[in-house]
Amino acid sequence: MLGFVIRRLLVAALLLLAASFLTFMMIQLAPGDYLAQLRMNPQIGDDVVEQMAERYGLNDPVLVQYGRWLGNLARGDMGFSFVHERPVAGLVWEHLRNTIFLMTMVILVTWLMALPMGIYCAIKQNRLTDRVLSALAFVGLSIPNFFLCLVVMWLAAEIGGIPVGGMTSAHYEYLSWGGKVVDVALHMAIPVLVIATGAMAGLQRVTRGNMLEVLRQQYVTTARARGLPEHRVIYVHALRNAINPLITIFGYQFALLVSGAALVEIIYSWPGMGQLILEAVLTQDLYLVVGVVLGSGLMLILGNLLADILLGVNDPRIKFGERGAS
Amino acid sequence: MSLPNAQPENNASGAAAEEPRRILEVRNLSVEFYPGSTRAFHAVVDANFEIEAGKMVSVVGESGCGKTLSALALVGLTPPAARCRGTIVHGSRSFEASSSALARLRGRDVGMVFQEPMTALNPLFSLDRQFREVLRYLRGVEDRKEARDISTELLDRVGLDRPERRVNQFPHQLSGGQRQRAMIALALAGEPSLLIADEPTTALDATLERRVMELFRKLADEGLGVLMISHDLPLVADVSDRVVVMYSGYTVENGPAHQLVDAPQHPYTRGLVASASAIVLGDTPRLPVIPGEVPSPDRRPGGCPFHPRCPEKLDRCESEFPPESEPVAGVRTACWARGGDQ
Repeated sequence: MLGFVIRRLLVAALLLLAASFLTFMMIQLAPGDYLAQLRMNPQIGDDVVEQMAERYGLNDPVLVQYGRWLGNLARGDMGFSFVHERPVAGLVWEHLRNTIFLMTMVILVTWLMALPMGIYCAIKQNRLTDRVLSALAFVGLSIPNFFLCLVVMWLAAEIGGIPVGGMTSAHYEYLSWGGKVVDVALHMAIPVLVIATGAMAGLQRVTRGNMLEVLRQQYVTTARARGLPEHRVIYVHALRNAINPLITIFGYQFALLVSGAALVEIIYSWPGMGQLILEAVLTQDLYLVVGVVLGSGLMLILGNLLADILLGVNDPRIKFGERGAS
Repeated sequence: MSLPNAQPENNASGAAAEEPRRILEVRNLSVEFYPGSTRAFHAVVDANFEIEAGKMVSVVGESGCGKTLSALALVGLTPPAARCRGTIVHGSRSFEASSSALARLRGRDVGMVFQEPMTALNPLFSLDRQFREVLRYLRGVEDRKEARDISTELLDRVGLDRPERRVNQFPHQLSGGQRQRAMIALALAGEPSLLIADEPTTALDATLERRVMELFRKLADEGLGVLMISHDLPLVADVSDRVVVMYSGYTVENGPAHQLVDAPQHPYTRGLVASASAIVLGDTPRLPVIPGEVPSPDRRPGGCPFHPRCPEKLDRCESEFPPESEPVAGVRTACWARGGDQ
């Protein structure tokens, strides 16, 4: 198992390296660069821009720049953001932290709601509650996130009292510890609600389908025939089997939310990765773009690794790293 | 020490040896699908049979004859679309076949073994864990060590080699035969008095088949009642005490195993025996077959359902199902050609 994790992390490092290289090249291929904007600013003299280009080595060949960046990366330096005038590492970490925070809440809400609903629908298949919940799930699935964002934003503004933008209030710094928690929670409520709606609807459908499938399996009948109580049959024997495909979804959802949440983050100006990447690409802030790609890529890889580990924990038939084992 | 206690038990079992204790009695069991609707049909019609402690009774018939449903009905495991009627007597307790109280017999009074050992054991739990669960819920065994000792003992009883090692394994680490033995051991964990086995050897190869059958015989000899569901008359006749033959939901014959094979009464049983013995002896150039096919229960012909294929068909076979008669002592047959008019 440990060998498996190490091997996977090594592969991940290679993947990230390739991703950074591609991003680097793509940014360079795009016409213009960050300095182009400075050159157009009449208040900044050509010598200043030239000085900057010299300082950041922007006049060197691309490969030399990439090599230098890589060398710095090995020392933990991810470069400097022109726009923010700060080291990229700190910037990415700050936004990544906010996004992870938001996603963790979304995942918690999604799973805590969708799993019980899916199970309930499967047990009460085709009864009224199942039909109502299924109909709601389809509505949830069909509403585009951006539209829901706007509707909820309008509603919140009409009702008042709930902040619809940012992560903290202006007077955040002056709040007590508890007040800070409440403040962030309030700011989070709407983005979490909006992102969770779509994710929850999908997960509920998949859970229901998996449960229905598993409940038909012979081992479920066997468990009943053994005289085990019904709750044991459903929540232990059936659920443990139904959850296997869901774990795969979890890994993929984890990664999807990093990018899928971007739109919602931007609309609600949540200081997360979505905002950062849009801004970085628009201003051609070279090192920041690469840094953001690395951060998102890492999340994707970690999400999948986590899912694979969980799968192995849940299913004894999965053997880590054993070639030819089925 | 425990001798004074053991004494009356000895007397009881001594008495039981003369008059075998009846552990299951099924009276007029019917299973109807979609009752009240236009597609309603009976999958099992008026089944009657009984099992005594230490005896093995086999229900034999082709696919769709209702044998599995009859077995499932005994513990209330028929599908939701089915409605059961009749009386089921477990030991001294009598139940309506439709009663949900039958569920309480599962595991504790009736152990069940299913056809596919590949899919009937939950793949995610080790044997140890599955045993522990059953022992906890059925016998209140909370102690891990104690549960382990009991499970090892059970696995040993069903003839699994190296039980103390096997108990740690997961179903996918066992072969088909080993899985089936583990299933049987799990079915025995609740100390039931009756074991129902639904085609337990269908998924196994021929040599294993016989050995598993012998295991069931051994369990019956140890005092358990065994209800065997099978489509293989010669296989079960060897090890069973009684055989019940079903055809398209109807019980056509019920008698001692050896008698049923040596002197089958019902034309359907005769057909079964003839085709089976031809294979064993290998002396007939052509395999005797029963012409035609088993009708599905929702398209069953009126009267005796076997009449379109029956070589001894009488006129009234088309209109009325024959009442049970006893043309030979101990053999109950439902056939007009065997004196069904008595």
